[in-house]
Amino acid sequence: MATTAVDRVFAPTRGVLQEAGEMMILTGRTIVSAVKPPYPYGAEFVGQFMFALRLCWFPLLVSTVAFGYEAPGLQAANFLVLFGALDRLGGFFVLASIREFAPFVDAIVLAGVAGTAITADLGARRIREELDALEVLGVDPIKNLVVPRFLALMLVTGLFDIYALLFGVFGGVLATLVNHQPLGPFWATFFNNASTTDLWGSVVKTTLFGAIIAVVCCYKGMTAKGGAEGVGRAVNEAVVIAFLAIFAFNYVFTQVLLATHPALTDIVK
Amino acid sequence: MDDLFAVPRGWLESFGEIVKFCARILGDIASLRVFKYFGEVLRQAGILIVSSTLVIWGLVFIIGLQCGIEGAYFDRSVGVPAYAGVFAAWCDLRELVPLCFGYMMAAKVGTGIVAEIGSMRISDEIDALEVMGISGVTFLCATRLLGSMLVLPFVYLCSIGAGFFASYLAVVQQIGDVSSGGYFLIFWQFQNPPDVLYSLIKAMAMAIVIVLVGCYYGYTATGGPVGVGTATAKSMVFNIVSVHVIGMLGTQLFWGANPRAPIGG
Amino acid sequence: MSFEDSEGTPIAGDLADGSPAAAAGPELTTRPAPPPGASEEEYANHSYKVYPSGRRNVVEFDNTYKSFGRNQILRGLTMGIPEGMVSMILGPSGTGKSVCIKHMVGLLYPDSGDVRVQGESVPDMPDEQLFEMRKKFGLLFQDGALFSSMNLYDNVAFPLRQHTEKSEQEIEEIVMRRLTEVGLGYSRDKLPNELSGGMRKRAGFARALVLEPDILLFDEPDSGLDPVRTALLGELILEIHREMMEDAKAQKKPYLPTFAVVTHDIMSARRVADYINVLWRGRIVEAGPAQDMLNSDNPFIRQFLAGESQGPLTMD
Repeated sequence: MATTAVDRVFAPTRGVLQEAGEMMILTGRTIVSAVKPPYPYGAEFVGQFMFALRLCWFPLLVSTVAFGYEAPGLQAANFLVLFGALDRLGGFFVLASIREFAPFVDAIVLAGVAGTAITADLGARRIREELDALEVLGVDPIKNLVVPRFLALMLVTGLFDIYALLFGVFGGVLATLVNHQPLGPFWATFFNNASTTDLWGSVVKTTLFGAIIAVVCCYKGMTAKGGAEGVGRAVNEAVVIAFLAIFAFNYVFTQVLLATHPALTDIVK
Repeated sequence: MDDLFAVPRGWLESFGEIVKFCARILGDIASLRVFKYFGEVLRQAGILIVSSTLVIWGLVFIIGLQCGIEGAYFDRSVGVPAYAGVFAAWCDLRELVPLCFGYMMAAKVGTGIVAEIGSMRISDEIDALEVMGISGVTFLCATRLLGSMLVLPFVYLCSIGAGFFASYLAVVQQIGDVSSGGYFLIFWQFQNPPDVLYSLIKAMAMAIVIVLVGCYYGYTATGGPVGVGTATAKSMVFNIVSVHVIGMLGTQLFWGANPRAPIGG
Repeated sequence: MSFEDSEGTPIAGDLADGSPAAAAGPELTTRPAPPPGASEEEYANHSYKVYPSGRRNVVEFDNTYKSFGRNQILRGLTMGIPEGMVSMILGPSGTGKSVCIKHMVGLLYPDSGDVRVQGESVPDMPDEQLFEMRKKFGLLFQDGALFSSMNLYDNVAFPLRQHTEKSEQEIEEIVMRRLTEVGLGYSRDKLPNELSGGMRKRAGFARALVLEPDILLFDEPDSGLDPVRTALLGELILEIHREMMEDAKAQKKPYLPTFAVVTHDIMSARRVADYINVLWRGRIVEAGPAQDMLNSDNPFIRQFLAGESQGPLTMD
């Protein structure tokens, strides 16, 4: 009996660890395969890049404006109004939007929109046995399918960060206007606080988010099981894992960044 | 350019259908038809508790930690480290906990429903139900919605707790600029029961939309297992956007004109 | 086209006054026009003959049209399923046989025309009545359509639990009898994905039987089965039909049990069918009792029932 009880506790854990390990291996193989010649994935890369762009621009637009207006806009304005310091909203936006919310919303939308589409696509190929057919034809699915998606998603997520940022700040502008404040001080504190380091940090972070999303979603798509529920389940699991991974990674990143550079959070008047 | 507008156009085209479908489900609940299958309602509620709550709480916990450290460092930099509790009270309760709850609901529960009902659709199980004289909408969709409505308020209140606990850990135990007592003084001053209620309403609105959208995409899935995968992905797109929009509308409605703070004004 | 079916006359009203025109079968006086957009030539082999079955029809299609997008499936289908017989709806792949079945139970609605079950029009029924009407049907889906979250026993017990007030003990009795009948009594606790395709079909059969329906429909029962299993399933269908006929006669039910099987497998049609409808291009080519059909002189029917490559039916 003891063994079964132990099994019951550890069997799921072992499954999780095994999956995590396999995703690590996939990441390693993807990177190696991306670097090593030949490079046959150019066209697929462009195709995936355009695909993600086409799919995500609208959901991301709505999401970032809504989010920027809602959380850092209205609520922070509420907070700053208490101290009569609404002009610092711009400074707060640098902190909130560039460092946190824009990357965050960007990653959530990319995972939810492009990531799920990738899993559904690769899952479909898995169960139609297209992936097996590729291997039989001597074509490496990692090099030809995973690598272009991996690179495209990294690039797209990084670029969309700036897009998300712009529209997030637009949400903040809306919030300032709703509070009947002039925009001058908003921009003044915004540009006083904004630094290229912030921007670079933000873009690097989101690029890494893109890598996480790509690996999780490709892995789940390529290991989709057969049966009616197979692909749907794969998408379901992919997006859950991607969200958790993004959140956890973001937490560690922020933690390390703030602990090592506490001065980053100073708001300059 | 045609392609660029595929997503919004798709929504506009199916919007009327989604509304009609949702009205049918809500009608089933309002007319108490769903209580014919109350056993199924309880079963769905149980499945929700067992399979989804831990993940939701986990995500909210992480965001609570995040919010805590951000808030602590921010308040230190503006010279009011004692006010870190405001962040937990506002940022957690009003914004991030509902949003993260919405994200995880969409990811775990919403897509799960699409995968489940979608696979039933393509393996003819829904047709089989209908042939046995049982309405698929009532038996599959209305029961799931009612099950979620029974359970989710509690799940959500617990996730607020998880978020608060995480913020407390981050601010007081980890960063330690403020004492436990000082933290809680500010923390409790900056919230009151209506805030919790508003936050709950926001989250429940998201949850209901997510379950309805999941049911719609699952119920209308076509094209074999591949179609189920595509429908699952599409539902996620819709839900991400609706979570953000509902969050924004809720904030505007509940706190837009009235910060509900104990000082100022 | 109008037709009435009173007292078991053949379904088509345009038939030449129903005189028993000997072996040649009844002749048509006026051929129905081909569907819009199709030429008379495409329908040259449709003789629209209906040999009398001597029974009333429990299900009737009246000039039914149905298309999905630009794909026209039913193109003026007029067909009858006679009571108390095992009928076959035969036709080449992709001629809308499964669509037919979905029309009978109201899962699909015709674009125009009518579908009547026991004299009542299905498309006109309000939801409540439709759900009641469906209880008269049992339907065996291609892959069984068992609920994947339930084991075999619960699957078969499901309709009883939902629609009757029977005690758990009575339910067990009925379910086990049906499962044993289809030869699955020993695997009551298995989940659908642990069963083979043939077993899933038989389980679906058992589930379709528990409510003792008046009309049992089979959607391609032979798809994905080897010839031996197909033959065994055919025998099972016949055996159960015989048994249900005896029960129905003993209980003096208002309707005798009717089976309708959709298939393109000619072998099982020859073995099992009492009555055959041959469907092509969305219309019935010819219909009648099995013996008449097997002796038909229509070239299409002859080719199809013999399964030959030479004849009017080609790859396209």
